[in-house]
Amino acid sequence: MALMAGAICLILMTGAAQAQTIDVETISHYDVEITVGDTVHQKTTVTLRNVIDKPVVPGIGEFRLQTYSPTRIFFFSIPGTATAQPVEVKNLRAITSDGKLLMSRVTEGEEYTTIRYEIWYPIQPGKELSYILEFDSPDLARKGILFTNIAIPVASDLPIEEYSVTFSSDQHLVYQDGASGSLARGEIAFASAEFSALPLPEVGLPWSVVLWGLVLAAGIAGVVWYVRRETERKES
Amino acid sequence: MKSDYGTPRKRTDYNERKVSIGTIAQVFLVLVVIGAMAAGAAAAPLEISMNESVSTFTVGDTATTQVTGGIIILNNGTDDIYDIWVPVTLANYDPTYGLQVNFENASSDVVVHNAKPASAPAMDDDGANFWIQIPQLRADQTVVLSYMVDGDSLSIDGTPLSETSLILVETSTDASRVVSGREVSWTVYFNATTNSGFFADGDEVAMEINHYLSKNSTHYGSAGWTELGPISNNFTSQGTSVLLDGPALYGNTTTPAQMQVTGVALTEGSAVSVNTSYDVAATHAKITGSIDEPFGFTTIAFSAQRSGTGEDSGVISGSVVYDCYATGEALVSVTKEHADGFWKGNATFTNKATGLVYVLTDYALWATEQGTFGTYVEDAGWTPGYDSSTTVLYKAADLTTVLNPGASAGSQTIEFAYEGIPVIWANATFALGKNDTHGWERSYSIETKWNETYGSEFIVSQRIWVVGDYLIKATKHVVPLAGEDTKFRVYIVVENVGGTETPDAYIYDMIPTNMTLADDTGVWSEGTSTYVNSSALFGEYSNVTAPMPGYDLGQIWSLGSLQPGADGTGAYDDWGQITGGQQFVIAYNMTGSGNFRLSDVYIVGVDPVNSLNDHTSPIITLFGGSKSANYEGMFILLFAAVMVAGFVIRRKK
Repeated sequence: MALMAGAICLILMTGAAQAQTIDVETISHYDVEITVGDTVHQKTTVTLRNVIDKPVVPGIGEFRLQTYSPTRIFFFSIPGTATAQPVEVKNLRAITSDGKLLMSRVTEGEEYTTIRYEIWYPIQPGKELSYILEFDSPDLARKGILFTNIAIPVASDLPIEEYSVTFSSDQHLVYQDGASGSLARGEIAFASAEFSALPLPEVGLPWSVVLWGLVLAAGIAGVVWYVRRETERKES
Repeated sequence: MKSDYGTPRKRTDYNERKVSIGTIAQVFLVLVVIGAMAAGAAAAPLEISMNESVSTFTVGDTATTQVTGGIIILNNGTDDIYDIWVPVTLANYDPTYGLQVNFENASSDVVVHNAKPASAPAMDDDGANFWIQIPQLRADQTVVLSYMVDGDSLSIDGTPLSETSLILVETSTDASRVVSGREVSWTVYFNATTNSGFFADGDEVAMEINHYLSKNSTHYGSAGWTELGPISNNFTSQGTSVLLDGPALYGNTTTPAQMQVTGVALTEGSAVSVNTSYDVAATHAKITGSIDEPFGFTTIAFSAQRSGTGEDSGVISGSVVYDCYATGEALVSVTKEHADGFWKGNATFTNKATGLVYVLTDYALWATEQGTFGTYVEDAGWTPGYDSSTTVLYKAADLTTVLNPGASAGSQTIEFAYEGIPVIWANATFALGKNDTHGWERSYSIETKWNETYGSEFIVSQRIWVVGDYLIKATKHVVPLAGEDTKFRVYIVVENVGGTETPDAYIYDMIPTNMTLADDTGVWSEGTSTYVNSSALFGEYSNVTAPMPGYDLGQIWSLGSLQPGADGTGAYDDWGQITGGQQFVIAYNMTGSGNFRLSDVYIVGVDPVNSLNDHTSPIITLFGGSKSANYEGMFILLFAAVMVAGFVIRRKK
């Protein structure tokens, strides 16, 4: 987690974005809708609020996307092998909440992908403007045998007064954590979820750990029991 | 007599008790008030003043207010006044503090009762919750009591009094940011408006405003200013303004460093605000980053007079002085004669004071047997008789007889038959009338609390953002082209008036509806009609159609780093700055057709963090992605390893 947070901090500070001392805008709402299927569809709705007494034109914004997941060999994830990678982005759509198309483009760097968009609509003092960034990506979720896991970060160089993350899928939602809150400038939160074809109840822990942990524990217990029984039989 | 609310204090023990700073300030205020009373015309001999003092501290849009109340009872005449009773109702007060005696130099004790004692005279005191008793108050003696107003229990337009102010203040500067390390100047605009949620039409507010520059961090200033001052171009829409050197306490400012506005007279419903402004010249020590730097403060000293009468003219908390009972020096004489077998007796009541007018409200005249004090003489035929009783006792009540200084009033004559020698008695009740020249008078006032250092406790902090790094200023010129109607030349001048290089920047511009780019070659470089100076700083150009209602085209230029030190004049032909990389100029032509509005052209935006143009947004950076992981494979691998281990063990066994 610390490594991941460090990486995010680095990409937030990279480029022209600098420590800001005077708030011009804040993000009053930051809503993420994640739909997990063969690929992941992410719809992010951002509401900017003008907090100064003059109109503000938001201008250019960047949405930087990075995965920090362990390396996989077939379906085996190797712990401790996570590295920062760019995210493949498909079917990007950037619009205002009332449907006006925003100019946008995607560039892929060594460690992260940048969605660059432009907003030329002024926000009057105290007023808000909402825009939507919507795309598909095959890189955001990790599929296993019985479960699919997803964990996404939420962060910005503007304060986020209220964020929410909702997950949906054709499969059953069996675990969810960190779905809402507020964030200071540069602070990072993670929202995670787990889906399964099995209709399991939510127990506050990922079932992929609980179920497979139980299976592994049962296997170990079986082997121990078997070894003891064989030892006792030999002694008698 | 003992107090049942606080301890009575005599002048002799006044010096022995501990006195808080607040009390000292309050007493100072009292002395000021007393002085003002003495200077005023036609003061009543017994003055009862209820005063509430306002302390407000404002930083930006946040105001905090505290109100303290005082009751001052002053013998303002030349006669001794006795048996003073003042019933009051305190409303919205702090019950923990209650009503306390802060200062008194009365000849007698001063007692505060929180219930009406049986010994108190009849007064108009329904609803009173405190009764102040002063048995003797000689000329020029004073009693000061205080209470605290609970600012959270009072509200103005739904906002607790503690979080707003009776005078609403707006302060701003023409420059939202200034650069460190060089001489800069800005204009301060300061407007004070009566709070219409509190004041009613006709209420009057007299005000004095003082603006101070300060380099002293303990007095709302900052030592970060290497030069601060002078103040110039003082303006006020009300009263008179003058420039003064200002107190030395606020640091080594360049004089004049104070602007004083006197004679401001506001009336709710008509003249409700005063606008003032002044220019400040200053140099701030070079810094990195940005700071919200204090450069001084403003004090407001005001006094308010409510337009109502009586209790309606009262104070902020709604507290009231109900009534007053008091007497002065007087004389009662009784005459007795025996004629024609009947005894006759009467009394005379004389006002012995020199400056007090009494109202005789009742008296009694009676006869007792000699050698006794309480055995009344009985006579069935006595006149004028009273309640059909044979007892020789006459009572007169509900009188309104006015006794001027030195004047006398006589009683009825009682006549009765008695074989012995009777003793004839008389007594009377008389009190000071409510009269602003010869009796008692009450007054209410609201004013700012006195502060020994600043003069007033209504203080507004003045601050401005100081930027230590780069600071971009964008200026747009629209010049009609000679001989070519409706064609205009547009220059956008971008300067770095800060002290360090800028990061890459974006310049935004919009073309209004019914105007179009003209002579557009599609190339942005020197030597073309649409040019940039210089191309070394130019990144790329892009545009967007219909960026917002009223505009047909939005244009963006990206720039490299601008060098620091531009003069900020906005001149588009400053070749020294252009070749020095401190300034970047964009130029293009446009024409208007039909109903075009040239005024809509004056819009330009820049997009780094530090900009003089407030309609600047930094690049908004969001972060997303994933740290998803699924370790099912690892669990299965481990499970398989355990099974294999079990299998191996079985084979070995």
